[in-house]
Amino acid sequence: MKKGTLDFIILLLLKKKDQYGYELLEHIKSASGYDISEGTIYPLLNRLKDDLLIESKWVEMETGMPRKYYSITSSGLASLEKMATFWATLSGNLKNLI
Amino acid sequence: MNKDTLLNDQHYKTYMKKVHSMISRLPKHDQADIQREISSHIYESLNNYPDTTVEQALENLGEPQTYLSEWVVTKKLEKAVSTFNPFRIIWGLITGIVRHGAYAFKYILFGLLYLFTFTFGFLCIAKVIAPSHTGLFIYPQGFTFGFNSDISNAHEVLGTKFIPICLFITILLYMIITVLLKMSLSKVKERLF
Repeated sequence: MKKGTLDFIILLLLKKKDQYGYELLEHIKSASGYDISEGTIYPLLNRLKDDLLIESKWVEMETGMPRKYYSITSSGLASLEKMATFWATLSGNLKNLI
Repeated sequence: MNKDTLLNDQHYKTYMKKVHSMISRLPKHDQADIQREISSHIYESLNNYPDTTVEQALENLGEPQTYLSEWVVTKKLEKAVSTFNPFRIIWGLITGIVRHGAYAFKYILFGLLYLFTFTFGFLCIAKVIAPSHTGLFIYPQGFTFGFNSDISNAHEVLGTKFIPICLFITILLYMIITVLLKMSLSKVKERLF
């Protein structure tokens, strides 16, 4: 998978709604068609958090274990806009090539 | 599966022990956060696919070594770099060299740069212990900076200014290398995760 693709998918998914790690992983798998190793998502989410593109908060559940919900920040939205432009250009160019 | 059944499962306990050993050198808050998130992931995985066993869920998540190792090293180094504490930075670099296969060479290089920097610090001590053999020596055919056992035909020009100059060079180099290490860690993180 191209470098930065996962970042793009995660930000796109979080733009739609706040999600917890496992939920996000399931959506990434269905959106990308890739069977990514589950554990790898957490270092990635942490990097996006360190870069202030996303933020997180723990939510206690009535039954079961608490979930850590991730949401996109305003700089995440700005970054997503740039990524979307880049991907649209790339995809347009590739379409012409095909 | 309910929460208590999972928490008492032997496979789960063994897995969480491995996780703990990987992250034990991180701050307590980060440790608790990572453990909580991994537990939550396993629990969700089992409840989304009730036919899945704990062993399968752990296998899908992967060995803690594979996904935590490099992240822990960069996290530890980042914390060390932000404090500018030389002991923490050196310890972080050593951990990076030992555990961080892909970027070990980079950490060795930074280790050597720090060693070079600290040499100027050691020269300050040398100047106190052996003042006549330490300094900037001018010879008819050139000069030497540092410790010199043979000072015949040499003329030392810095005198007592040698110590503040060495201290200044040490601090300046230390700051520059630490900022470079910080920038390099951001690149490493982008490439790895």
